[in-house]
Amino acid sequence: MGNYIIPIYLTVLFFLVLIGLFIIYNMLRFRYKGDKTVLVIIIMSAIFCVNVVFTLGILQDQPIENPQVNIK
Amino acid sequence: MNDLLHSFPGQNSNEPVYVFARSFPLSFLPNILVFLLAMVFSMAGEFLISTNSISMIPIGDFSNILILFLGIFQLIAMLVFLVSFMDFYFDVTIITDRRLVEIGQESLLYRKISELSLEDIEDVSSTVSGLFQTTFNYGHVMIQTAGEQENFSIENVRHPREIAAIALDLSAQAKSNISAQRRIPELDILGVVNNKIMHTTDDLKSMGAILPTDLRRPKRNAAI
Repeated sequence: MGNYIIPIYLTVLFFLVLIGLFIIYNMLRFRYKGDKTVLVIIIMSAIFCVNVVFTLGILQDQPIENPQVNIK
Repeated sequence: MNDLLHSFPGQNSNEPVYVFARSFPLSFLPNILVFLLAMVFSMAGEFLISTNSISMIPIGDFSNILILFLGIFQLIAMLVFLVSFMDFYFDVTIITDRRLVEIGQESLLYRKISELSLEDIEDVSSTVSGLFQTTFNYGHVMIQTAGEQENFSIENVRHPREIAAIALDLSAQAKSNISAQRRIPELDILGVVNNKIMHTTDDLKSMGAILPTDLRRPKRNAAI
């Protein structure tokens, strides 16, 4: 099971990033000159990246159930 | 990207914007707090599970799946927050020299643009209630329309009294058959743009709400 955790996470991540890009595209389209939309997008993207790195780091450190997989 | 002189479809190139109002950021605070709580608790949960700090959840398949779900939950929470931000931030009310326009971002794929001629404004009222609204001077403006048209409700905007006064004054001018090209609020305040009060036409010009070549002035300033 442990082998599939990161690919599952990355697959979900891929689709959610697509949805996120669509939202950002709409936000940029509707923004007005001098408003704070770009700042919010930058902050949210930074939180997003930190969160993905944090979660991937934790998932990578998790032991996998089948010990044979770890045998070199 | 839109500037204020091209802020909604159908706006004339010489149509000044006297009110450009968004919801006050403080009214979005509960959403920010819920989002931060969701992120902090789920990240703390991931950390505790991965360090084997919760004795009920030993490290193994179940803990891996739990961390995966928490990770996906965080990603979805971020998307929901972005959509709710869009819903909040892209609700805009605009009052020009000839109409009132309300742009409502109801959801990600639902954008509603309503227009009302100034002549059709019947009654305007503003409400400031509660501790936060009184302290930070924001509230609601209700605009009642003539006939069977839908009433307009502008919610959580700063300086609601000033916005109501501008709407009423411009409406009175429109009903007195003053041409749109000569209409300008005859008040101490000429506009409210991006939550800031505009006292002079130069303030409006600096915000890009009125053409630099526009010569209209309120009568009280005519001699200046």
